[in-house]
Amino acid sequence: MDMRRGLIRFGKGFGLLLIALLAVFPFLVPDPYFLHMAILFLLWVVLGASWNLLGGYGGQVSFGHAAFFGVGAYTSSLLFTKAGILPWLGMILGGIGGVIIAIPIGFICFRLRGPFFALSMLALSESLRLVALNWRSLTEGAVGILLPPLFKSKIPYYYIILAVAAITLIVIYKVVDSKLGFYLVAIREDQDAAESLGIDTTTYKVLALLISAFFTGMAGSFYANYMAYIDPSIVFSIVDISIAMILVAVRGGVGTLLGPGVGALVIVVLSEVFRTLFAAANLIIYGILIILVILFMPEGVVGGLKRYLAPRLPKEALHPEAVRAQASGEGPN
Amino acid sequence: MEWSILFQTLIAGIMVGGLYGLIGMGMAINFGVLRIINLAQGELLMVGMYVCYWLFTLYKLDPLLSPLITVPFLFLLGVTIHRFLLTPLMRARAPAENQILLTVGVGLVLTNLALLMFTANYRSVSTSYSTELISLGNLSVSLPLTLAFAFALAISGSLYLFLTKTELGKAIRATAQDPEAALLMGVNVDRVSVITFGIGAALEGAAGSLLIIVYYLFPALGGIFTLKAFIVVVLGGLGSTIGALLGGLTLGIAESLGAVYVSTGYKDAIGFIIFVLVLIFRPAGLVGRARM
Amino acid sequence: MLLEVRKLTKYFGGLGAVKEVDLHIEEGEIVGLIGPNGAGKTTLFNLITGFYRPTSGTIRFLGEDIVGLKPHDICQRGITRTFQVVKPLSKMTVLENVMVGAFSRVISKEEARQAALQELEFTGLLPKKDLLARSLTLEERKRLELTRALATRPKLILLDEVVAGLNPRETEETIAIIKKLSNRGISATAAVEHVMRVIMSISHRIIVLHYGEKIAEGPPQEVARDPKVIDAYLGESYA
Repeated sequence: MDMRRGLIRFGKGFGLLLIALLAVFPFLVPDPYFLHMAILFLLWVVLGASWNLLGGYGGQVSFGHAAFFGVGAYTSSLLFTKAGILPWLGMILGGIGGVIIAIPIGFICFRLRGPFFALSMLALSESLRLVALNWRSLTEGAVGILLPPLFKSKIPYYYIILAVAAITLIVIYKVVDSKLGFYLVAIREDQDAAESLGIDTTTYKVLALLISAFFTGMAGSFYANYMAYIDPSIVFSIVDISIAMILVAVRGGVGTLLGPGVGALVIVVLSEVFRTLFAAANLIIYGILIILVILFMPEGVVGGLKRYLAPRLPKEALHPEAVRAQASGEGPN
Repeated sequence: MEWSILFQTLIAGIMVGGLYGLIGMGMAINFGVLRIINLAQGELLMVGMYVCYWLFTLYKLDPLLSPLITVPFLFLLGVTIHRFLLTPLMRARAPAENQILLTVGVGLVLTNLALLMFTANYRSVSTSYSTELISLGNLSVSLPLTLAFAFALAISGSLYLFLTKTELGKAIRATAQDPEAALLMGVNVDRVSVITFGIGAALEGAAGSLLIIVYYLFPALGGIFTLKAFIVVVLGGLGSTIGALLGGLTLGIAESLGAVYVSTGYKDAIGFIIFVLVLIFRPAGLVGRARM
Repeated sequence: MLLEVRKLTKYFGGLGAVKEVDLHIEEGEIVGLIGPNGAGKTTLFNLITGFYRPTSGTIRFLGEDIVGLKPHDICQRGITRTFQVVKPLSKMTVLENVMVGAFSRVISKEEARQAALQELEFTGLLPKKDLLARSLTLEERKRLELTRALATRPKLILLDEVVAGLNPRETEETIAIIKKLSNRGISATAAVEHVMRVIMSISHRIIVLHYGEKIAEGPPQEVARDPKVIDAYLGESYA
């Protein structure tokens, strides 16, 4: 607990410094390439933190958050090109689009235990990709949608995504620090115990999903306008969005506040490095990296650090029966 | 409505469904015993198909004979993946999502290795019977599809016999039902787990040999079939191999009806609709609680 | 009457785990539920707390039918439980574990904290409050589970094998806590496998289950002499 408080306090101090640095970043580094990297970094912070609330804290692992990302991207883009609604409002509506998709899937899957949710999300995002691909009259299909960018300069985009990231992190921090946060962790740790303590596990899981879907949808909307082009295979991508989101959260450390920041930095820098260094073999290296991270750093950078810092537990303190019970009780419920 | 078209569609659906069932069985048996979903299942299928493709192209080996090679090859590949990647994770009692994520990594590596080695070109084999049709009155069915279906059923039947009649098969079923009880009964659960993963992969090898005579081959095919296998497994009730066959038939029929009567583009979305309906109304799968 | 169970029956396939059990619990009453392994005690608890749905029969709590409610609903109404195989929230501290229970009645973190601290004081776990739950001994885990359950402010608490595996001193301490519950107006039903003197000494009433059926009920001394009970334990006299 002290360790954790200490880490949170460290996180806060570090965070303040980071915020100051981020606020003036475009003036320190006006180079568009680095600004682009910084924008992607912030985007991934939003995505990683959103996934982490549900998957890290709540233990409800999703393999298809691209569903919300893609719906957010298409919602704001279509509203912009067809109805002239500006992306400012479109971004909020994109988030709401994600939420609307999330409600039924949450209520259907969270009644069930086992890997249903994780994999239903995968199937959902694939199906939405097919819809976006085939509903040509609305989405232009595989051709995609070209958007008139709102700004020529990258600086306004930088500040927009900085604001979105700040809001996301504040909201998620508040959530984690509240009754909802306690309940999510309780559900992750033991669903039966949580139920017996008066926690409506289905409702709280859905609640976390909705928050997660909202910010993911918003990020999708931002991405669409910033890149000025979307197509189904980009925004509903399993590998580039869904799996990458898990990696950002897992690499950073599942269920930690600082994690997504670290994870986002790693993923943005690494994918850049890979693209330039390995070209065609890029995705092979990416796959190998996933395997290595899972094998050697299962708790992520922040989680690993925490474990390293935490005092070692004396082994004999663990009663063998309790250890067995704990071991057999682990895994997502 | 033309009845002959309906029949034709149903028959095609059932035959494709038999293949889907075989593909799903590999995933089902893995889930039954290891309690993880292997998201590289379709990629293993893809590897099997490439092996088959090259055997045919270089050595003129008929795809229907190629299981003699693809099955042991994929078995070894599966055992290797289990031994070096999954075993350490399971020893560390890593959460299931880490194991699933690991299989995603394996899938990515396999797909992109294939892309690098064989390019993104679509490939297919053309055998002497590739374009043959069997005619029954108004109905005509493609011969390769019929052959593939018959082989798929034969392989499914052998798997069933293996699981119910042999010592090893019984050990696998015991482990699927209750690993701790199996352990107490003297089953070497670790060994069973490795062998099961090998069998799961080997089934994809067999399925690959059959799929290649009716379908074309490209590196990204793995992802598509992983998803299909997953839907099949959920339809059949997670972990049930017989269920997987029924799930495969259901998906095959639904897709082929959808393609004819709705639109080809939405064919795959139809699988998902059934999937959602099953989750809502029959979460234990179409056949209920039956396990293996 | 606090809890009234009538003709409660649960079949798993063809196997009757609980058969036509009637039971009632009064406010502030401590009831010992005794039965050999497999007698249906845990199943009965699972039925009352909503983890299982009964095959037939009724369960009324404070006059209301609670069959079909989810465990969390039942907890909100005032029945909670502990588990035979303890379920600590391993990666949370002891205090946080208890706060999770307390949140069922309050919203703010501070209120939950205060309520949790009170309960930790009551059960004597306060000195361990900042330890991670997974670093506790079995006895402490059982105690934690009891504390956490108490934090939900139950009117009735079902304790599943709350003293199993504890040494005599630990057992005494736990029994003392259960005894104090009665003073707070909380009813407790403690399921135990053996006819133990400790349970006999604090229970107002004993109910004996055997193969899913209630075979005896009454004051401790009477039940202990009941030939059917002695039979069920194959002549094992209570130690």
